[in-house]
Order: sequence, then C-alpha cells, then structure tokens
Amino acid sequence: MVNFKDYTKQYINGEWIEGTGGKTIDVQNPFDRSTLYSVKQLPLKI
Amino acid sequence: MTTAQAAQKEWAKTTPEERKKVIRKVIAYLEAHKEEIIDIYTSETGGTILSANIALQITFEELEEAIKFADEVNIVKEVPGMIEGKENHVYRVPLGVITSISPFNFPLNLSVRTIAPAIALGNAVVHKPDVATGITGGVILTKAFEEAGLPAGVLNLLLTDPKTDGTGDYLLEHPIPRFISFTGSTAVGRHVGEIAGRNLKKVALELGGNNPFIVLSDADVDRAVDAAIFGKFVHQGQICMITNRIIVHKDIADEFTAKFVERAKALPFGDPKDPSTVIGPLINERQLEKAQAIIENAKKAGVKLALEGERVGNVLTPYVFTDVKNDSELAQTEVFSPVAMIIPVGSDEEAIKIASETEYGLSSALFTQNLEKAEQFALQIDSGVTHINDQTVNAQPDIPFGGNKASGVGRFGNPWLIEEFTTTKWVSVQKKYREFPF
Repeated sequence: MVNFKDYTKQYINGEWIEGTGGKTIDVQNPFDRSTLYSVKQLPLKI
Repeated sequence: MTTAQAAQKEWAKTTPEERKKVIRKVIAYLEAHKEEIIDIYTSETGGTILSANIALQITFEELEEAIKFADEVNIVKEVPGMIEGKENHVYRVPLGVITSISPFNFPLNLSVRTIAPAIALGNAVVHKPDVATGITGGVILTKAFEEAGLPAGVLNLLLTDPKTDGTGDYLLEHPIPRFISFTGSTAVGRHVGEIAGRNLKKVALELGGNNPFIVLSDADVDRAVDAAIFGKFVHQGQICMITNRIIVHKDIADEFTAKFVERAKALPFGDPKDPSTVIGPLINERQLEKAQAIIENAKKAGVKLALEGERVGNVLTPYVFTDVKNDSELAQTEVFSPVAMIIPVGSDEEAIKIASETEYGLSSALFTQNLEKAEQFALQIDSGVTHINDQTVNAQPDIPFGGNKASGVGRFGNPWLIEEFTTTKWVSVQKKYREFPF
C-alpha cells in the first residue's frame, strides 16, 4: 500500500522536497470540503 | 530547469529498450496500486468510481501507446544529395525540456498523455498539474516513474499555484523549455499561447469546448437518449469534450426531450465513493457558483426549464433547458456542469449549420440512420472530432485529438505527437571536393 498523501511535495531532480517560503495551499475534498492535505508552495524560481 | 536540461541530455542517449522498460514498470506500478489510486481519485477530484476507472483505463492505453514512441527518435533518414558527392542525414531528435500543465477535471489521463510520450521520445518534463488535484494529476505518475527507475531530473513535479506563489509567468517564459503542453480553459490558453509566441516556443493547447450533439430526423431516439445522457453527465459535465448543446430535429424533439428528462432525473447523485453514484460534486465552490450563475441568467432570460435540478451539499443535480436558441447566451456558454440544453431545429441542414456556430470546435456527435449522409455532414462540422451514432466523449491514444478555433491548436496522439515533441537535424557530409562559383 502506498499513501500518496505522503508525497504532496515538489519533486525536483529526483528528490521530494517541501516548499520552504511560499504560501501553504489546503486541498479540499470536493464532496465534503474537508482538508485532504496541505502543500507548501515553492518560494524560489527554479 | 538547468538540472532537467542536464538530465535530458543523458536520457536522450538511452536506447529505446531502456525507455520502454521504464514505461512498462510504470504500468506495473499503477496496476499494483489501482485501489489506492481509485480511492484518492474519488476523494480529490470528486469523480465517481466509474469516472476513476475510465481515467485509469485511458491512462493504461496512453502508456501502452507511449512504449511505441520510444522507437521513433534518434533515427536517421538518408536523403540523396543534389550536389555531387553530398550525403544528407536527417536525424529525428528529442526536443529537450517540455513544460506540461494539466487541469483539474480528468487529471490522471490528461497528464500522462503529455508526460509519457515526451519521456519515451527522450525529453525531460517539468510538470505542473492544477494544485487542486495535485496527487491525481502529478504525484501518482511521478511516484510511478520514480519507482520505475527514471533517472533524476527527467521528470520534475511542481505543486504550486503561480497566481499566489509569486512566480507568475516565470514557468512559461523560462528559456530552457522548448515546448508548452497546456490543457485547460481557453482564457488561460490564449495567455499561454501569447507568451509562447513571444518566446518562440512550440505549443499544444487543448482548451474549452461547446460540443454539439446532433439528433437528425431519422435518428433512433432511444439510442440517442442513452448516448446523450452519458455524454452530458459523465464526470458531472466537467470535461472539455462533454456534450454542451443538444440539437434535435423538431419532428422528434418532444419525444427526445421527454425521454432525456426522464433519464436525467433518475440519475443517482451524491458521494462519489458510493459505486451507484453517477453525479458527484463539482470540483470547488467557484465552479458551483459559476454553474449556478449560468442557470440563474438563463432563467432570468426566460429560457424554459424541463427539469429543475438543485444544489444538494456540493452536488448539483441535473438541469435540462428546452427550446433554447443557438444564439442565446446560454447556448454560447461552455457550462462545464450537469446543465443540459436542447435546441430544436427545423431541418437536418440547419442542425449541421448551427453546430459550428460557436467560437469553439473541439468535439461533436451526430445521430442518424443514414451513415453515408452522416459522414458528409461530419465533414461539414468545424470541429477536430465528430462521432457518428455515439456521444462526444471519446479518447484513443493512436487517433489525432485536438480542437479547432478557440478549442486550441495541435494534436495529441500517436504519431502526431512525434512531430510536436521532437525536432529534426540535417547533417550533410560532402565526400568529394565541391567546386564553388567564386
């Protein structure tokens, strides 16, 4: 079993990395509007 | 971007077999994790279990087709020289780094149709799915390629929203990617196209649609109703090639409308995780409000309702407008929701004529028992696709897919994507001394 929510990060050059300075986005379940997971955006220009 | 560029140069040197092996492992990974994929798909997109299975099926078909792309690059064609002693070698080479931007509505298959062929053809990809469906549109495929052993840097995933992360158009304007593959709204697609043009990048833009479903006077009404119900309401109507306008000959319009309404109001709605659900929620509050505004405007304009749906939680149940005029605001709007509209017409010729009277030109469908006449009519409709005796939502990875007019530019599918995701290099070899005129 894999929990894809563990990988809600940026994947750059073969590494899963958290955004460090950008805004956090809460992604909602469309049916009940509960928060499924949060993503920290990238602050940098890659 | 620079790491993607460096990774691409090495990836382009791999053999077709090495690239095929990676894609086969991606298929195996997705097969092994079907249950988790369907579970997160229904949670994240609001799509039903049926919708998730359709998306997965198309994804597997796209990946199988991508395996065939691997043989189509780094090949050389010899062309005889017109100058004595000259040999010409025309190489088909990867384009380089490709930017991929995919939407929220069918995120898994609308992402894989760019990512898999691009990688199979020796390119690197920087992929940005709609962040609202970041797992289904990006994480699943990225994880699958990682587990399949794709070298670092060949596929990169950005879960971000350029409107709020401060990067703006940076991703579009960056000089390294040579191609932007964008699927989404026409408004954003025009913006992407403008930037690509200014920066001399190639694009594939798969944008909105206002797809007609035409029922001619001799059509089998029951078959047409069955098809229209699926083509209108699958995935709550949130598909670029969804049926938007149902154009019906007046002689059968009453029968068609009665049967269509009967079927529409019986469609089960609610929790997408319930296997019996057909109509799940729209993706977010914004899309719900947009759909409700379209409905209210049509009602204010006096458009007749044959079925009035309702908002139940975040689900919008089916609406059916009838006696709609093709030049009305409603008929000229891509509703992207379970809102159907029926346009009666006086003749088959009028039906075909007004089918093209929209700014869009993506998909279309035509019901008739006269197949010879149907093919001639199909060619008259200004759209990239016409399905005879079927509905507007179809996908096949070895068929050209794309739209005309405001529905976009470029074609997905094998072999059309080879031209999009590769370029040529002419190498000539002068084997004899060449005499010049001065």
